[in-house]
Amino acid sequence: MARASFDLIEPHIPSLRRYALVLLRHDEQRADDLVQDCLVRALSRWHLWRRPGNLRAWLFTILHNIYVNDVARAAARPDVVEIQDYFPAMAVPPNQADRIQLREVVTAIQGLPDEQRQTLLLVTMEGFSYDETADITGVPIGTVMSRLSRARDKVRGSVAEDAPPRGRRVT
Amino acid sequence: MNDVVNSPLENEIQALVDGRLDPARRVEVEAWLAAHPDEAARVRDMSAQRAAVEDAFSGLLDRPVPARLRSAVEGRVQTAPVMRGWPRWWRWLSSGRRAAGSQMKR
Repeated sequence: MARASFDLIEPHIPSLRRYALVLLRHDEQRADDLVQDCLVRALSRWHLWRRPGNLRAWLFTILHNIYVNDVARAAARPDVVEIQDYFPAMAVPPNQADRIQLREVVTAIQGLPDEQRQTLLLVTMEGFSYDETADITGVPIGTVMSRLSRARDKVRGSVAEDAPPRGRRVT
Repeated sequence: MNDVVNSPLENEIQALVDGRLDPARRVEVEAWLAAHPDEAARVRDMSAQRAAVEDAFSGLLDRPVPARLRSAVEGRVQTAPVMRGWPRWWRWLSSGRRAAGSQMKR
């Protein structure tokens, strides 16, 4: 049984780590603690997973619950880390317009209220369907849709604020 | 009046951005957007946002998995790190009994 669960769970570790890392604003230690806790709980509840179920969504549900119940509550909201510090790949010359946009988008996402941030990341970064996202976060699908819409409008607003206005005269 | 009939719901706008709108409806919504430049600009921005998120975070999937996480999946680690700060009686209840004896010296 241990072997079977290992083979099934192991392929999902990279995306669990990515989600945890972004949720915890690139605190690697705490992110991997969160993933480890998720994996330990998944194994201890392995008999509860209904095959053929959606294992990836099940694992994300466990991680989400630990984050909401234990991690997010315990931690005061940390300062947003400078994006360049945590995305070495993004430390590129600032004169590249699309890269600037990338940084602004990431910064804006990290400034969102937690529930909107989780929803946006699950749908866009992790590619979960709206139904899966509703299951993972434990809310009705209508709530997922309104969080998504609000999150995107907020990010759009922040990016527009930071960017030099186009086609509008500044006086 | 046709405009009112075809006017998309906010959910459909989000689904369009995520590529989750069914193809027939997508054609209608795109036709509606062609006549509504403000909303079309919003959809363009949100699509660019989506693409930026995919770009920004895709590299995070390639990091090598630390040994402690592999051990966790193999069932060799039973103490959940998030619980380390919890009261001792709780840790004992939730994992201590399973790890009796051999794990005591950790």
